[in-house]
Amino acid sequence: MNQKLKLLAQSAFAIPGMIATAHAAGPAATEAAYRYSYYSEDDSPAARDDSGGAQDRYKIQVHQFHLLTPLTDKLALTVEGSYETMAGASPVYTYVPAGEDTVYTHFSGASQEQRYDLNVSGRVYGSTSDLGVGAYVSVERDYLAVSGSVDGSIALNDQMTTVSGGVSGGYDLIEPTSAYEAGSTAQAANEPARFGASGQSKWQVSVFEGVGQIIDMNTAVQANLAFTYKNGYLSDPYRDCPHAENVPCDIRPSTRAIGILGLGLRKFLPSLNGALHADYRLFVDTWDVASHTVDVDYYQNWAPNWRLFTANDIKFQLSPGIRYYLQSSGYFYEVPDLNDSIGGQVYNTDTSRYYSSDPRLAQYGAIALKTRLRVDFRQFSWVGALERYVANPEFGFNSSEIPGLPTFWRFTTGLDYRF
Amino acid sequence: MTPVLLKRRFKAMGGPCELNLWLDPGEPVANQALFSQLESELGRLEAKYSRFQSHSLLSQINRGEWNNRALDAETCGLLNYIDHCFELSCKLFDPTVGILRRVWDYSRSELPDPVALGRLMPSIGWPKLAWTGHHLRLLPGMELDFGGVVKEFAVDRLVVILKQQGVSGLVNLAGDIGTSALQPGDRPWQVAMRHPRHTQTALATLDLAIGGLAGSGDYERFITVAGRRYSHLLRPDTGFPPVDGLAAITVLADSCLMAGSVATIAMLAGPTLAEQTVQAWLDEINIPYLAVDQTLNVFGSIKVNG
Amino acid sequence: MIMKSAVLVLSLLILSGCSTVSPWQRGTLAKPEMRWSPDVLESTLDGHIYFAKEASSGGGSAAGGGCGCN
Repeated sequence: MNQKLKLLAQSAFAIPGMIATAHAAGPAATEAAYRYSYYSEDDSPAARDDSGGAQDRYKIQVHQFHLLTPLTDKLALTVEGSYETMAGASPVYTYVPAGEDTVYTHFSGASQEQRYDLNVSGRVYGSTSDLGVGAYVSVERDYLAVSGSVDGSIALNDQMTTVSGGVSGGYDLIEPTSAYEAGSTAQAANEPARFGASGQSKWQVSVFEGVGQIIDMNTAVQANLAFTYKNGYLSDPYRDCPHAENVPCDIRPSTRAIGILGLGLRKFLPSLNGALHADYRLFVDTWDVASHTVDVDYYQNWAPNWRLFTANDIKFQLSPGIRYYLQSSGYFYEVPDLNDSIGGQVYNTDTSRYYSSDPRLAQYGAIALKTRLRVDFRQFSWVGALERYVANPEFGFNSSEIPGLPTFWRFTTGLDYRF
Repeated sequence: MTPVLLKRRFKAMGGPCELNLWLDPGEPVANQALFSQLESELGRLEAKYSRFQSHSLLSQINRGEWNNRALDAETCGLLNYIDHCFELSCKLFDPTVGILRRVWDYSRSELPDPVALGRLMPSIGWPKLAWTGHHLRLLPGMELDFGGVVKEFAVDRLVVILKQQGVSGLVNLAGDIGTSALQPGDRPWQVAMRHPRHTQTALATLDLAIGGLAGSGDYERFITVAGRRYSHLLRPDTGFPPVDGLAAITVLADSCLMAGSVATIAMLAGPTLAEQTVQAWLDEINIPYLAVDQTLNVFGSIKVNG
Repeated sequence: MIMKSAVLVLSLLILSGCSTVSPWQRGTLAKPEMRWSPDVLESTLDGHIYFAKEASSGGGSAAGGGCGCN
């Protein structure tokens, strides 16, 4: 078959209904993908930093790899890995210093870290069902995480409805850095959190269930529920702070139960040749954190009809999106006001057992604007993406100041290859 | 139970249709459901693309009701395919030639009145519809005709339904043929190619595995004037059938749609296409075919069973 | 508004009143931009970054994962 005939065949098989696609068969082609991402947080405001200067905040570079290979027509293997380098300062604790009336953040000295992770999974495909198994490991200098999962799905009702479910479990081991000195009373006194976190671990179990429904030839919806239970050392070991003796800095409950409800819509708009995505996630947990996440994205296709483009299968896709995130604070979140210290006590009594001033547990909202561009060329695709994320207490209807919240740019570029 | 070959014959799309399916005789209800599904898909395509039904989508298009309105995915796919064939055939494969039937009368042995033909020619030309990939606009006096593709597309649709049900069968819509699988025992299907001048006899029988087969010939509908044969395949540049072209051709391809388009293009070309002989063009695109020229010389890449 | 849509989605699922979309009409639903996660690596990185910077995690799939938290 020569090129002219191959192109004619492509036009023929592009007509809907020319290819038999009844069975939820496994993937037919191998795909490989690489992504490079650069993440950079805005410098923190000098006016809110207790060192008096602006901090060079977090910068991350991530290299991601993905490979999906069909081993037989019913079995596929996926391998994903990433390598991440992180540098920069991050907020350690937030407080109102004595003699001030505004909130300040203390930052850690800039550190440089690396993280590797690997995920291997296999999936078996039946005519209307599939079953997958996966294993995951992530390694950092101070952290080791392993997890495994099993999940599957069944298509019912003339394959209009898909029911899916899965369980997973993970185990994390923490070994905070800046060398742990066994038996050191000095370290135990000066860096109680770090000292106490050595050799700590945590485990978690998660179960999810989802239902997907095809509404018509252009529309599909999905709903899912997930429950997770975590047990073990859940505090942040780097939040040592010198407010006063016997003042805990970051001590969180040793258990956390989480419930998540997710809803999603995918709608294709034929007259525009574009697809609309809308997703909502409700998150609630036993730390009193409740959050809403709304994600709306629009994927616009463009395939110019000029000879050069159709001959080489060149297509474009631009997808802008917006994400709004709103969370309520954990019940043990508090920014201590050192002006209020009475007899050495700087907290309200109900936070005397658990405490954290971590901005990630505050009430705030975040808005992210992102745009992605994908260019297809024969079997290759180039992707580029840019995101601007701003977290702000006012977006969460909170009039307090939370100087430690992140604001960042994220840039991604990458290549996909199908063969 | 072991499957047996069940045949159904009926009329659809203006011609005889035949379904040959290997089915389990112990499942009469399921078999009838399958036949019904196939017949209703044929009915759906006919209701959508027939120029004889005034409510069909095609009739609406020809009345101008879809000018500059986005058409559905299936129609867009077919029109994009037709557009591709138009380019591939050096502008010979043109879905706007249908209006010429007003001056070509195959029941009489008369050539069309040149003045009347001349008045129709400006209303022919696929590019004049300004197809964008989603919509077109029909100028007054122009007409769109899916006749060149819809029967072959219907064959492919029925074959897809058979494949989805895991049934081995052969679909024959008035000579446009498609098969969904080999016959039991991995045996190919056997198809006869009609002799273009002795149309009740077979020129050759061919083995057909999985795919489509379509043919075209100047014997299907023609008139003879002064000893010359004028077939029903009309060229958009002359308004006349090709001169000194093939007498017949049968093409094999992965889909009946492709087989039919290549066969039609080869017939319309006359002796040359894209500065090559038709034989060189067919050999270059490397598609299996069997052709007969006006001197009844048989050539082509298909192996024949004699 | 969100609750109404949630109720609508759930009742659609329960009643399954949708007339079947035949397999040959599913070309559109199979397009890459109609997938629940059109870009797997992007979704993975999103999950990782948002989890590290916010108090919420997950969104329907498996649990587990590294930290890279600070």
